[in-house]
Amino acid sequence: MMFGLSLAAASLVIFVMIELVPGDPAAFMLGINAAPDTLAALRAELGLDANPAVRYVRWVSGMLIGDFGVSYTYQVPVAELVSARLVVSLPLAVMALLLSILIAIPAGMFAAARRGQAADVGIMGVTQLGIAIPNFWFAMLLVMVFAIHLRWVSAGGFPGWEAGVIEGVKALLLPAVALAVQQASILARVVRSALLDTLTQDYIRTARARGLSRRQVLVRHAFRNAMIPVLTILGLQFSFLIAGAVIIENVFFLPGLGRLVFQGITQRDLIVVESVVMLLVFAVIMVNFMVDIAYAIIDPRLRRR
Amino acid sequence: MNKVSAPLLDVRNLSVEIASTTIVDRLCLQLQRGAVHGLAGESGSGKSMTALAVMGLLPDSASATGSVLLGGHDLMSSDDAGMCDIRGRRMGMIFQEPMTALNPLMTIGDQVAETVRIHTSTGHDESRAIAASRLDRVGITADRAGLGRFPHELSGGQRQRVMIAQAIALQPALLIADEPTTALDVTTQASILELLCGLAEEEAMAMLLITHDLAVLARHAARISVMESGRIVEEAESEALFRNRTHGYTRTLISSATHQPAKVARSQDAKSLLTVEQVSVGYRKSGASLFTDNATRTIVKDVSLSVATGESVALVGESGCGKSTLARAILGLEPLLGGSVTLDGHQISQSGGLPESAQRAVRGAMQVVFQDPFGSFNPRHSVARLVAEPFHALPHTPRGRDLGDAVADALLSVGLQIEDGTKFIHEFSGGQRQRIAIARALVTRPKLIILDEAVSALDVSIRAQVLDLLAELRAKHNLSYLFITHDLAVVRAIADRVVVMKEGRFVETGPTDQVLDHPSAGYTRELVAASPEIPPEWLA
Repeated sequence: MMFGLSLAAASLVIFVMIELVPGDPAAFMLGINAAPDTLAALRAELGLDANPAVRYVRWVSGMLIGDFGVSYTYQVPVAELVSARLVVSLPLAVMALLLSILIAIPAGMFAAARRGQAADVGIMGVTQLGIAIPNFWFAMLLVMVFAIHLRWVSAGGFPGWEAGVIEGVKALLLPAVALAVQQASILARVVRSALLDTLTQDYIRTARARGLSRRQVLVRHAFRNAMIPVLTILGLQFSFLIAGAVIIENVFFLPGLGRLVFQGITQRDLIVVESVVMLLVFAVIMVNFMVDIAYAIIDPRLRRR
Repeated sequence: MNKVSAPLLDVRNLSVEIASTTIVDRLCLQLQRGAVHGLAGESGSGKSMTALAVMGLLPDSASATGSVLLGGHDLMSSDDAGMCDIRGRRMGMIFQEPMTALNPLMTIGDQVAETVRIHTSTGHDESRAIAASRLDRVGITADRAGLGRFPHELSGGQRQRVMIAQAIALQPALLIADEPTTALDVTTQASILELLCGLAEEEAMAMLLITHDLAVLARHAARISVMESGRIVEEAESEALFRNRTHGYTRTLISSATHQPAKVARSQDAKSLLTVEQVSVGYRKSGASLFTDNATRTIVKDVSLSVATGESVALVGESGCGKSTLARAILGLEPLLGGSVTLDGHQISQSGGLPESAQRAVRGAMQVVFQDPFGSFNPRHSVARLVAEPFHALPHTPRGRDLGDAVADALLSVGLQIEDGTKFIHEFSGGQRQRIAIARALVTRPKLIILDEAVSALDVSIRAQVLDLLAELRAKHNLSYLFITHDLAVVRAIADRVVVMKEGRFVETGPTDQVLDHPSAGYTRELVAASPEIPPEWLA
């Protein structure tokens, strides 16, 4: 029930926000010299002449049966448009997140195990840098090294999954790395501080008194307890990665969701913007829901009897 | 048998330093097999650091010198891998905090079995079987979910039993118990101590029992070492220690533990100040529907109580019996399900609630002091501002010089200086903080002070001082106290009358001496029997 309420509230907010944005899609499509009666006719055709309440109900009831409307600029159903972009954005986000986890967890654990030593200081310095470096700049650096000099992968564009899974993954690899660096840096710091926090807990001392070594204590006792704050950050990061890749998508000429929204906004293709934002809201709620389930799997205190 | 002369644990000239401060100073200690050896002392005396040094678990910032021999093997020269082999197998340790000392994400069976699996090549099933039998030995039977239970599903006493099981899983020769029962109720404390001492005897295990509570040691330890600022100042057989009281510090400790403030003379015909009439307090059950009205859990069931002007009444019971809930209800912090509370002739609370104004009128007449001397203060406010806090709830707040005078009066009357008002709470010791809490309660010139476990967290010598202060203030201002505690020694020291509470109901009420010396209710008898006491003949 909370799920439905959240979505309904979000849809209303999105609709009102977009209504407030200046700019008439019909005027934008016809250019500045359009005759008033042509404009009126187009507005009627697009359904923009009806009052906002009616249009809101139309939009929401459409979505309920899977009809997201037709893009003003592309003249194709929004659902088609979005799903074509989603097959790029979703794998990209997943890859970036996996990379981020694969880098951050070992790095964070390593740093926590050697707190205050050179390795810890070094890792923390690198993550500081990783957060500070703008990811588009790093992306360009990656292109220069791996695409232009070494020619291991192409500099941009997406061949489509028809070209084969390997080709697809290769095309997404550099953008995923560019996205992952910042996320991994943040996550590594969270992993480290969460671990250091759990390492001061009484049960760690109990486990040490049982005869566990520092390393065994870290792996068997501290790690799982430290996962709770880490999961929270992971959830936020995934939501961000799905739509937050606009700049990276532009650097690599990827037909992703971020670019779709960006184009939608500049071209006043409001129906596309509305639908994509709605989809993102849905994704964020889903991710949070999954994070909650993961909490319960990790922590028996959160399970209901 | 010359084996008796070779001690199991032989600590020689152990010193521990943290940041060039000496915490433990050239300490020597010997433990015989199968003996229970007590280590007594106040907080900060270095008891726990001594234990951690023996276990090789000192914090990284600490450095230790000297030698620790366990069965002739020098532990101080072992590296961490060597110590890991010894910890859990040859020596085990249990800690004070039963709530936090077990991993909340791991089942109790796994935590006990881990000790076995770490040190032996036993397989999964076999180590679980050993865990089950050890848990069974400490009184956690494998019925129902048994080993699969998580720590949060157990009570404090049960958790402490699990702690013991994981420490003794491999029948170590030495068990160190650091304040094992301090956080527990008296009846639970008694059963846990019995279990520990039984195990020590049965399995010929030496036990180092560390506690601040001399009465516990009087009952359970064969020998006692008394520690003061890092050194052992006296060591003797228990009875001899209490009878002879050779060392000055030991004398101070014992007299503080049994301290009785001067009795306050009181007129018998004093009128009733606080009247609690048939009060019930409860909570709506979580998950209960909005539409089922009676889905409440009653915590306090239909209790009546009255406190006269100048009288000190103790409310005694174990954790969860509802004594703090009742105190909160009297303070107006919990709505009543039934009954009413009257203070000084004004009704201040009743079921269904009363207008804010009814409480406001008499709010200054009733104040409270809580247990935690640190957690109940805002660390960013000056002491003067903290002490002036209760005025915010009053209709007429004194301003400027009047406010300053009131705060100064309150600080002086608890034995602090006026200049202390400009300091912050972290600059004070635990005992001083509790004085500040009392000053905060006194500032509105109340008639009744509710003291919720107000001296429980204090060391015995500080506790004796605070109890004296309370007695003195009571005589001076004709104050009434409602003293909520689980400690019968405190009750004896301060209360005229005692009310014993169990499961939300009063089981016995009467004059303190009568109730504690000749209890009539079965539960009171149980409580009195479980409360550790230094045998009076030892102190004669």
